[in-house]
Amino acid sequence: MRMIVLGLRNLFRSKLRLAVVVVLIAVPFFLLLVMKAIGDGIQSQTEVLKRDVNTLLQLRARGSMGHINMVGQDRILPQNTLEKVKQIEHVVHVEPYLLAMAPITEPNFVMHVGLDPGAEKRLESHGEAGNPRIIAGRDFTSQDRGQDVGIIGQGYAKWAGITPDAIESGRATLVVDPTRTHPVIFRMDRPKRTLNIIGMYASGYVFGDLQLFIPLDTFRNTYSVNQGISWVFVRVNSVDNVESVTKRLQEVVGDVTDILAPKGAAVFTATTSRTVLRLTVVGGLLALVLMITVIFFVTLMQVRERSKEIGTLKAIGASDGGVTVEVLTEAIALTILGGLVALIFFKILGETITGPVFAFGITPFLPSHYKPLVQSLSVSNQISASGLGVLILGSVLASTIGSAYGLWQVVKLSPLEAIKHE
Amino acid sequence: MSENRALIELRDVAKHYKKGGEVVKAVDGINQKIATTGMVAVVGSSGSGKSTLLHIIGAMDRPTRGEVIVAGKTLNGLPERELTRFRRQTVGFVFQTFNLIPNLTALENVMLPMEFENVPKPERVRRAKSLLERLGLGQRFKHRPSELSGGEMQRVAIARALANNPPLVLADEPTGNLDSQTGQTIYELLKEISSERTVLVVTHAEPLAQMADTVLHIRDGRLERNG
Repeated sequence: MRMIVLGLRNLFRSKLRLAVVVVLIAVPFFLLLVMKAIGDGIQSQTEVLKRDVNTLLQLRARGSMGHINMVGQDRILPQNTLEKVKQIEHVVHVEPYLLAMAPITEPNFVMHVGLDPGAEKRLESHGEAGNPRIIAGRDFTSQDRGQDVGIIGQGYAKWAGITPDAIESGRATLVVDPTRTHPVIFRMDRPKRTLNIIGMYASGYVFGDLQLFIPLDTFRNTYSVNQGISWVFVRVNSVDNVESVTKRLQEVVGDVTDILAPKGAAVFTATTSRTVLRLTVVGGLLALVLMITVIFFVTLMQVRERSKEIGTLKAIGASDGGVTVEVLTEAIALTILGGLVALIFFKILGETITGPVFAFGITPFLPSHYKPLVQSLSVSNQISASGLGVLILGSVLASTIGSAYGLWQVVKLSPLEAIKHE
Repeated sequence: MSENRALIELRDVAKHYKKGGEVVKAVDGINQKIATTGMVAVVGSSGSGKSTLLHIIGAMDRPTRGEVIVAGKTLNGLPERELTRFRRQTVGFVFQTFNLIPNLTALENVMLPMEFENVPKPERVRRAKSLLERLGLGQRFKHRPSELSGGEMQRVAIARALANNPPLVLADEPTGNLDSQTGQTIYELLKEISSERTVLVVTHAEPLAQMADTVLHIRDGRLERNG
């Protein structure tokens, strides 16, 4: 205990020296904090990106649009595709769709989409462009499964003369006639079917509003498609797993399937975030090395300078361990003091300085498409309790490593050093 | 001196080392017994080996040859940890340059060896104060070395040497940095404490050596005669 107190008291032998050494240690410590703040900022930004990035994969029959009555594009996926896909790890949701085309005023056509009543209303050709919302009537419920009901896009409704009022009053109907043709639509010998239009949607996109959504079972009956699926949408639990799920899909159903993966976004998020995090780790390590170097020289200088005193302590009965504790205590205390000073500066200047450090130190190493993220990076000068713990632990570790050589010199030092300068 | 009451026994002790390709015989085959009380002065010219002999007896250095027995303990071959314990319990050192710890007070300096020996704090304080008062430093407990005169610093160093009540005090040129009058006072103090223990003093100063009970003359690493 006495040697710890001695080590602490040694700090204050020269206040000027204490100030210089603390600043020397504080500088790399400050850099370490900046690197950690950048790392945390990137991490949280990445989490936001991951949430926003599309983790949806689309499966279609190989080389086909999967529209059951489209000339040359009518091949669909086998029914067992669904079960196979559901078995794959990281797949959290699977949605099957059936699609048929229907002619309207030449040369236009509309799309009839069969789906589970609870499934997302996806817009053909412009998958994520619109955001369908019900503007009249109601949405599907589970009771609509197998019923002759439909939800129509406002563009299609206008062509068919269906008004929102008619829908609201339950008088809106639409006749689906699979025998009608078009230059790209072939005839299907199925009877006409009259559907009650229970809702109208708007997507904010003109082509997206030319669709009719009907329950999957109703679609199968209408078009006599008992087996098979036009499209399967597969939701992956995380952007990190999109790549692995895509690979697995290739293995399981790749022989008959085209897989449309949001590859660019996933790769972008995964690789660039990883790059930045690696750079911050490297920067942090460099700061740590700098801190260790400062402690190394400070400890060595103190041991050399106080060799006579250390020799005296040994001559009057201090053990090697005791003297080591004294020197180590001083090194740790110096590092913690440096850390505290760095922390204060970081609280005051962290947010201001981190941006330029990021811009000059890290941005040049990033691909150009990462710039938007860099510009929007939000860096906080907050240090969490766990972060503080890690920093204290890091400083103890750095001071132990940095002072190791000096401590070894202490152990090697003979008590004869006490009389060397006499 | 009665042989069976010897505190220190040196048997053919030698310390040789190489310097510039030549073997230097700092101590060369010394046989000597030193009694359990009294003041012993080791005198000799510079480089004669007197300090080396002192360091060997104080377990600060190891002999090349021979056997060193102090307070019944053979020092040869003792591991470093045991030598540390020996220095703490058996020997008190007084250095020419005082070697006080600069950022500790006089009282704390005297308490230091007792702390290494795990003496409880109240006892440490009591003993340190008593020693400082005995050496005329009752008003200097809280003074740091930089606030003390040379003679005062050496008296603090003597108090520190006596802290663990060792049977042997080794003093290496204890008056080398003091004026003659202060030096005389320090010698008188050392003489006084030698009534309870052995005080071995290395010195150049023949007049001061005259105060010793025994004088050992050393030349070229060998003892010349006993006084």
